[in-house]
Amino acid sequence: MSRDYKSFKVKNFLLNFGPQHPAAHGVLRLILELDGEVVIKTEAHIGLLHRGTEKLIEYKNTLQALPYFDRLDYVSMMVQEYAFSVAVENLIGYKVNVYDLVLRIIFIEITRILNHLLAITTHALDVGAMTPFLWAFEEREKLMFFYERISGARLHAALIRPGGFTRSVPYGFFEELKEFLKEFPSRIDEIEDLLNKNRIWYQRLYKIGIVNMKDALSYGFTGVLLRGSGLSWDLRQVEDKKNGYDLFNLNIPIGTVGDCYDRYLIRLYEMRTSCLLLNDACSFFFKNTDNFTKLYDHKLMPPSRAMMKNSMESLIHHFKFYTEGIFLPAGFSYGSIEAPKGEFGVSLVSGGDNLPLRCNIRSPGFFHLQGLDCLLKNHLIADLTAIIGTLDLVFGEIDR
Amino acid sequence: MSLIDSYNLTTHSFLLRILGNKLNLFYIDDYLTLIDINYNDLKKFFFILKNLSFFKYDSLINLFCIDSTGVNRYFLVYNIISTKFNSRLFLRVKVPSTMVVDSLINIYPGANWLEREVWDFFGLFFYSHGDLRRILTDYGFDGFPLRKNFPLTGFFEVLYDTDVKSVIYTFLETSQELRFYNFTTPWDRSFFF
Repeated sequence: MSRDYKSFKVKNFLLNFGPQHPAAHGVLRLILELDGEVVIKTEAHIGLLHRGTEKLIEYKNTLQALPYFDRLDYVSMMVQEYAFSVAVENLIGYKVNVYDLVLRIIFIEITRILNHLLAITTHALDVGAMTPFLWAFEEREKLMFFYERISGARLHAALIRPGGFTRSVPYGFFEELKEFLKEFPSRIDEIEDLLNKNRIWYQRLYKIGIVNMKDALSYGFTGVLLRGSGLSWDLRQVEDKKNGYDLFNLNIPIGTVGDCYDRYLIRLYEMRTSCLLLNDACSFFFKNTDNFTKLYDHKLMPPSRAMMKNSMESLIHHFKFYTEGIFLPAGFSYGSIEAPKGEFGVSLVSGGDNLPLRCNIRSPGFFHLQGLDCLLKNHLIADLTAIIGTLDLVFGEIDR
Repeated sequence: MSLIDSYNLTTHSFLLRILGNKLNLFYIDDYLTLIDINYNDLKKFFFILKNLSFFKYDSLINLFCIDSTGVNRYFLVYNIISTKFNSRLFLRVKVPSTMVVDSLINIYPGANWLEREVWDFFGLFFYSHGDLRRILTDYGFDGFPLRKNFPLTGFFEVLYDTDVKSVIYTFLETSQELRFYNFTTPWDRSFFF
């Protein structure tokens, strides 16, 4: 039978994905242009979770603005508090003491493990493996216990403040953390046993969503997506003089292929690196017990209740701090940190009063989602979930 | 000083040497390096910074806009990094409110959404962008919400109307005016503008 091909007109068709789809990790709406089962073009519609954080912060003083940062990327909370605190400290020109610097590292690394546990296992859930998800959430619960011990809140702790910390570490905190770290690597082993050589997992991830280094850079990718493409770029290492990581050894895994499987392995390895870092940081506190000078600037940190009862200056500081907040000197500053997802940055512009003139938030997920079109091109529609999973999207930070 | 730090300083000294006569301001301190350029030099500047082997600023990390409510109302701040020389640079561009800025989409593809965001929030138009739609606000949103003359509460609210049995937009009614505490300061506020 002969066919007159000229009379056929093959047309690509459009498919709407989301915004309410379990594999979309939130409210992501995609318009996919399909040629059969192959994705030709992806167009992401974001902003369904837009809460106007940047506008709100223009009307809030530092103390009030801080909790908004917990709620941006709601699975890596403290990293964002840190970025904002550093931005404020840079603006003022304040350097935190070594004790607080290392304590911040501890909480950043705890947050990194929390985030990667969620990222890896929800990715596995999208691809079809349910068990790692259940196991990882048990571990996440244990890690949140450390948040709870120091701040009283499991998730949105508002712990890291400009100038230092809200509270001091409770008795026996580091010992408990060490106990946890003894157990935890074997939990990672268990997850690896289930996934690494699992044929379904491997086949659905290997050589899927390859991104080369040049594309990754020009699209503004950072974090695991950039390191997966083979570039060793980690702000913890690059700016280690500023953020205190020069006190510890840091291994940075990089990928060779740049596919989803590489990125999965990097996330796993980063959890192990974080464990080592946490161990080192705990030992740091065991070794140097009393040698810390903890002098706080009471223009940034409120004085303790006991000080308030005895000193008039403290009372004045307390009153001024809680009514006016921190006065930000006129200028521009940038605070950034290697968040689990990539570079998280806060740009603060101040006109010289207690409210910032502009607070811009640089969220890594925004850029990764922008590159989705580049990653997804000429893949099958079934690979969509694997690729969205590997991007580690959280819409709190993308939509802001 | 470590090798990495000296790399960074070298890039900055090259910057002064090669492009120094085009810079309006070169500011450097412990935390950041900021240069001020003219908006009509924008595209050339970024082309040189990305491609010249002295710089290799290969990634556009961020772009945001500031509304200063002055005559030259908007400032665009670009944040670029050079992974080769471990250098971070901030470029500030003063844009009058009626002016159109060149898009960087051909130099950094990542500028696409960033410029859409600036358009969405501030209404700054980017020439030759090609796909300048709103990105973060609602479908059919009107106005530019991060301008200083846009109220924090907005103009409309969304609610479910039981009569019409659908979600509707109505004019916003608040029982209380927004209480805005601003403590002015006698100190100098002239650094950034």
